[in-house]
Amino acid sequence: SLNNFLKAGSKSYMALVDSVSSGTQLGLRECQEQFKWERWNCPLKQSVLRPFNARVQADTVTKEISFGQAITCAGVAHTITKNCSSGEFENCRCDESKKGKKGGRTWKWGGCSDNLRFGERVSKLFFDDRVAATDAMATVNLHNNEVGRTALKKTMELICKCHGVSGSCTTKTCWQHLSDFRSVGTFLKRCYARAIDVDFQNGALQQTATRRHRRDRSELIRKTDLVYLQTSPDYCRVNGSYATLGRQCVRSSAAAKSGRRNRHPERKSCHRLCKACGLKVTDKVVEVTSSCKCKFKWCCEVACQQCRRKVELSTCTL
Amino acid sequence: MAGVVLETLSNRKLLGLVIGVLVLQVVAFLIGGLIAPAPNSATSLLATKCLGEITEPPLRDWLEPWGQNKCVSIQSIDEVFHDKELVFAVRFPLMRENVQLDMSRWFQNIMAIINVEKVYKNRDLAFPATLHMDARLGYKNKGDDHWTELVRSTETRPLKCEPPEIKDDGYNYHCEVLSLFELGSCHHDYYLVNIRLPMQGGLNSETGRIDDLTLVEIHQNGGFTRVWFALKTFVFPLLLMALAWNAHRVRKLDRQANLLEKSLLCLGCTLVLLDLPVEWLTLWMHMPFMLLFSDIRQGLFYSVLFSFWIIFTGEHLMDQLERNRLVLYWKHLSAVVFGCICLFVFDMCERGIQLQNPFYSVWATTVGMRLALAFIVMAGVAGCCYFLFLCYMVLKVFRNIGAKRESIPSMAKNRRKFYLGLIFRFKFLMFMTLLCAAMTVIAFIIVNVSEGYWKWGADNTVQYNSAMQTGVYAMWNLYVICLLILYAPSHKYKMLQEQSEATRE
Repeated sequence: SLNNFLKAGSKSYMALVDSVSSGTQLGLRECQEQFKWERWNCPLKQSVLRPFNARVQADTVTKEISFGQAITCAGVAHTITKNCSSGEFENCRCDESKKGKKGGRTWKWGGCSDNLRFGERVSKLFFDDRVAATDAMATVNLHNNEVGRTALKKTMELICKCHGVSGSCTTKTCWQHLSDFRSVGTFLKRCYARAIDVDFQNGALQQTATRRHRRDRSELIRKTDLVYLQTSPDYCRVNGSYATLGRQCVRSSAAAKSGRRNRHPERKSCHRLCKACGLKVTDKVVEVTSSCKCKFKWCCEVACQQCRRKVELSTCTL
Repeated sequence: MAGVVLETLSNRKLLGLVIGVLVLQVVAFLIGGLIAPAPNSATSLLATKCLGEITEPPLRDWLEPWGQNKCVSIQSIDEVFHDKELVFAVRFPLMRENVQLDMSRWFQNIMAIINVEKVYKNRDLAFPATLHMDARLGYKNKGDDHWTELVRSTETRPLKCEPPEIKDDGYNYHCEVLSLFELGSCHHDYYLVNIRLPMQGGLNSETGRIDDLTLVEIHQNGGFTRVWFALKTFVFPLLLMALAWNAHRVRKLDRQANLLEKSLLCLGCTLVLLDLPVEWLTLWMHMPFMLLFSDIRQGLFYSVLFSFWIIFTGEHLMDQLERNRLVLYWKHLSAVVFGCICLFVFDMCERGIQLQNPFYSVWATTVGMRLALAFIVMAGVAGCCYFLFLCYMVLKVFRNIGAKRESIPSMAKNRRKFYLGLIFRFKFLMFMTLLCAAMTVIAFIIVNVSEGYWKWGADNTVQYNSAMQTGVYAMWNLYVICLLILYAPSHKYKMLQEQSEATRE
């Protein structure tokens, strides 16, 4: 198995650790971006998400922790897949192709398996393999990791090319194109919105009773359903103090002016972050200098003018 | 008109032949589906953004994305650098499990496609835009120290991108893939591509920043090539034998071969040309023209097959008109010839010029695209005309058969036998042809639909795509072999005729 191939401490393993680390970072950055306008703004540390720890450090598995878990797992798979296809990484496996033996013969007979497979396997190795799915928390985590990897697959784009006689479609080859990580984040955010509260019974996850009476009575938990065990605390107050104090938000009028789409999370962010938590919104006009009217001259040369403009900043205050 | 083997063959022998052909057909499907891997494999390669010296001419030095002479690279296009230029570098095949893979001559051909990755930045850009590239392709073999240039070219491609569904920063545009190059041979071990996007004089200003390039390399799988070669090498002598036997029978006739016999022999010859396993030579020799050559061979075979159908139907019209001359079919055949010439010109424009410059593509320029489309449309129109002609003739034959049916009982024994034979021959070929055509269409649909249902994780134990390729190829071969055997002039028939004439006297 991959475990034998990548024994902890071996050269190949060490090379992987870097990618796993930057993949986790990618996941966390995206998590913060997705939750920029929510009360909980992804204040997670890499250690909480345990890519290198034997056990989850969080005491509870809320919806938010589930999201963080899934997105870091997806981030790792994404990064590994990308690094494999750039050639930066020399240890990517080339396996599971049909009727071939290890090494060169596989490649010459039937080509290589997709890089995503390796990315997935590495993310499994670092996130899944270390926890035996015997208790509720471990099972929930395993499932959420799987959701993260599924998100990656679902956001991939299938591209085909015809190249038969005279370029006709008598022969057609297709491949999966890795999408930008923002799309993966958005996909997972949607999974988060309809995350399922679960119980751990008889060694398997089951939707909690209240949920089961709903219209969609399907007992099955799909691979695109994030699951959680505990209901989220009130993120307005953490340890007795205002958690959203000092956070920036965007007033609805400003959001409408900037032409954001209606469902953009930026909308109503002042209400959500400040007013609903019992805080006031304070507006402050600041002057910022930024590059503008840039003329793009390929890569290194960008000719810009310095513009000063007044920006209204809204902040949650006491 | 002379009788053919089909009419005099005993039912037992005919059944034996049919079973034999069916078995071979099933075997052909099975080896494609079970032994061969998928016909082609595609590898996505993310281009490394190398920093190179600004040189005149551009891309003077090779920049390698990885390996011992790894270039200085940047992670993101936002990084600032001076007095250098950005070069997208791709080298294939990659390293896997610390082993340097190499391309094999069994791969036959290489095609490269680029996918432009462009991050959406707060406003829509106008597409299509023109992407200008300086591209250079080089190769290296095992033991070589340096890269050798295969071709360098300045290319343009129309870039069409759709803004993301959610128009927000951070999402990528959805850009159509662009074909980069096509090599008719895979003769070397390692390949290196360097692409530079020039900016002088406002070039590429409308495309804006391009964040990444992904190159997708597609080649025929070595395993598939092996199975394909094996199939060809097996079928070729079978066909040759059938052709020789048919030619022998025709020569033994005490009259000149008629048009139908000649066209059948001609069909056999073009298929021999198609089957001739010259591909074996690619394992030793550099033959970049193989793609074009196979296209021409296939085109030739199908045009002769189409002509054969017209002639066969015409010769079975049974309207007392003595045909037997090629000029009588000029209308129908000119549709075939015209269609084929159109496709040939198109193919020469694409793959012919690619022999000179693998980066060339007819579709890259508006003029070229219109021209290519015009040729394809003309070929399509010719194909439709042909099809209408054929349908009309077949209908006429069936009408005549209906008319003959009524008068057959009142005919003399010999005449009746002649007409019954004619009708049977025609119907048999109709049946066989329709079956093969239907199978080909089904295979085409399966090839085009099956890829849409891309399953992850499911290890495909049956390769439908390969099965269809080998199956259809074997089917048309068996079809022609059957024709060569069953529609050869029968000597038994002649004997029977002489006998009956003798008894009458």
